[in-house]
Amino acid sequence: MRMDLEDISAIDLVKYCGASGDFNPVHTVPKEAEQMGHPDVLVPGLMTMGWVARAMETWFPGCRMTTFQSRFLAPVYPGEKLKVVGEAGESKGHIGRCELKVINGAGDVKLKGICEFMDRKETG
Amino acid sequence: MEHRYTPFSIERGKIREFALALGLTDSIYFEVETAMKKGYRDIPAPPTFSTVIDFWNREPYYDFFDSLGLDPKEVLHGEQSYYFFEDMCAGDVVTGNVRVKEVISKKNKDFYSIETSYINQHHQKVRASVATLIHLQPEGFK
Repeated sequence: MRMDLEDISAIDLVKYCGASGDFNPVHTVPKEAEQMGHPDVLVPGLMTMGWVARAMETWFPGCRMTTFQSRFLAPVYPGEKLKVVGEAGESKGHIGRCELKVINGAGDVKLKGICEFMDRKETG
Repeated sequence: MEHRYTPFSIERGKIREFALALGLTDSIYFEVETAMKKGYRDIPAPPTFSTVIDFWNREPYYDFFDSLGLDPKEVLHGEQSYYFFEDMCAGDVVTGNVRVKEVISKKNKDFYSIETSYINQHHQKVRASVATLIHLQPEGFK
């Protein structure tokens, strides 16, 4: 399974930082990010993880996560073109499992994760 | 070292804003009728929403950093695990307890393992978070 994400724009970062409340200068103030050795503002790891959640909800509609784990392996910066790649693992009883990666256009792996989830039954 | 969040009211509008910022499209985040049809009490909080409780709190996450002597600019997020126990929905009031589980120092890096438990108004543990934060000495960035 694969989901291509839109190019990350600076404004996407502004929206996410405002919504999440994470105003760390390395995410919000380019000059301060540069002073810390970054080429640009750094995309928050949890923003990348949020996109992985979006992919999970697309691939497994109605899934109810039980665990969701990520390792942030490399920094992500605005302008990068990312894709989320998922590989469904073997289910254990009613718990599904998916291994996840976020990869940029150059093939660098930015995130590796695992999600375990249950199907949610409709009640209506 | 521990930190306690002020009780945080989860609101539909905040969930919508957060979902839009991530490009989430599931209508459970936008339409209460759809959410209820899917078995939720109200609009559910997305998987990574507890970060909103951390940062928009009256006593936010970075206050805890201050008490640890950490400058957020020098900290990278290395790993994140979430564990989901009960639904967390609009209308809930959620508190959190944050604590340092472990600190491991290697070369010029300190690895902090930070554990947070989120408890709702019914005293149910709804979610838990374990984060690994990497504190780099300034030269660690170069």
